[in-house]
Amino acid sequence: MDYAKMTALELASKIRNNEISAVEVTKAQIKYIKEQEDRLSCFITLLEDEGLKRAYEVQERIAKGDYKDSPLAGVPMAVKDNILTKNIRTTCASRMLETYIPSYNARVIDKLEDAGAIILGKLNMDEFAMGNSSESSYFGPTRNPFNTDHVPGGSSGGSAAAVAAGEVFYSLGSDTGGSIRQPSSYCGVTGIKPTYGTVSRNGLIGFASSFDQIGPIAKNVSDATAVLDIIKGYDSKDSTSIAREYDSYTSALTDDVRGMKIGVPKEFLDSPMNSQIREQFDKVIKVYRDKGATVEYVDFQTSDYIIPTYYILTSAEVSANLSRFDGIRYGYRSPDAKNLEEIYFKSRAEGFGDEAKLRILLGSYVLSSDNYDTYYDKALRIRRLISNEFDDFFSNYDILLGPTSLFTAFNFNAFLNSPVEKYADSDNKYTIIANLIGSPAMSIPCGYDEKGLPIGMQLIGRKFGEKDIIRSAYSLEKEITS
Amino acid sequence: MISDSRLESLAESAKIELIGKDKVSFKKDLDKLIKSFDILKDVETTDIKPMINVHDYRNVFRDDKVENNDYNKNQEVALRNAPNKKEGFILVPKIME
Repeated sequence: MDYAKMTALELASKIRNNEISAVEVTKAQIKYIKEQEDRLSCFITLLEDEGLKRAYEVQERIAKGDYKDSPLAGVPMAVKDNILTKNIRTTCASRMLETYIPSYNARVIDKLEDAGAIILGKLNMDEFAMGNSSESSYFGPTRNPFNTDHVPGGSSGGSAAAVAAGEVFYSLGSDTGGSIRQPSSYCGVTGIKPTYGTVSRNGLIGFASSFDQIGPIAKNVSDATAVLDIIKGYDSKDSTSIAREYDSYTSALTDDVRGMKIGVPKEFLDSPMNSQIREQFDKVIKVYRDKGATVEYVDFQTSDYIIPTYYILTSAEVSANLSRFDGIRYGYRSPDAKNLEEIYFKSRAEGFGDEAKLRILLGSYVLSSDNYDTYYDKALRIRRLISNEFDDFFSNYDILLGPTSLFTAFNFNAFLNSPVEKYADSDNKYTIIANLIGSPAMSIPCGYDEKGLPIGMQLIGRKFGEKDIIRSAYSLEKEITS
Repeated sequence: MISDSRLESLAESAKIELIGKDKVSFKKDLDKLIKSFDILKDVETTDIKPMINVHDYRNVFRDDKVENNDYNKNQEVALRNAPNKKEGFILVPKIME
């Protein structure tokens, strides 16, 4: 049977009904992954023996009648390598953590295991999740399954490519400025960045802690929603996690957008967008209108501030978060260091890649005493200005709609000599906005460009408006896949 | 423009040793990034409160008692990632002269 083409929920239902065993499918997937990996390099660590052992355990428990309320029990999946897995190497795609073995699971891993997930390994990414192409991984880049000359996007590039290639049925990624949604778009899969505080960050290696969220990447809206239902919820071990009633997101899977109000940033009308993306975008707007939603163009006064504000604040948070990597208690230690100071300076010089170093230096710059007010404090205030404007928008509209990226997946080394141009040319302020204001957002696949590379559309909701984006995404998916 | 001495003091506070070719490219990239922040300079923010987080949080307190501590009670596990260790201690070069 060709498992690789099945969705996670289809597979789980066949496992539940004893048509397929979790062991059989895990064996088949491991074999398939090994065939694909030469070409794609999605995995940093493949858990062949552990995965199979776990499949036997889960299958046995399913046979005994356990996991009755777990819609994804027995389904093989994999996890971005910045999420801690007990006794399983977790590298953040960095030399700094090349041999790091965590002593505990991230909260999301415990939740997935309680739901009968079979974890097949740890997925490649940009080093410390900084980047949008997965090229900065210490272990080498992942390739786009649609065309291996192109990047899979990033930073959760391995997480998106592994799902797109059918290596796993779903995965976890993390998103600080688009790191789930942009690779999902480039690889033709569905990814959700939840509302800040919805999914515990306990055990997520911090990049920019007031922006980071873990979220699912899957083959369609229903699968991604099922995963989100498993991993959501308050966690006392994450003091930024929000204690509230989280109803079932799955209940929002209805094909009905009548009466919904959708806003589209006016600047998309004349932004330099790939022509096939524009075509798809226009089609999507028409689909929503035909289905009874209102779609209007909206002007945002603060949108030009989004990218600079994001870079100032995330770099500041990076420089603080990455200061823990000192070569003393864990992580890389330079063999050439002769005294304590040299341990710090040389270990960090040799352990971090250029992208991480650049952002640490930038963070140190904006936080230094003579620049603090000009840059850091200023950006904190502008974050509120931006947030106020978008909160106003969301008091009138349910959804902010636009392409996830203005381009499809770019070629390797397209920005080799200039990380800065890479930020300017390929970042989309309208993915970053969701992290700046804490909103939930989702990318769903929507056709292909002339080279056969996938296009993605993004839906952003108001804080805790997951149900709105899931409903509108589900409704759109019905139209574009049927 | 970031001067050489400024770059060195940043590297000093970030505790990262920079070698010659790093210095040229980091300086160039930092300059470009910092220039891209200029657009924020004239934004009026006097009466706007800094936004530290997207939700209004209160401090979270709990009783000072150990709970579910299975990942810290084992010295071997706690030290297994230390790059250099001896007899249950993490080893570093001599600090006192």
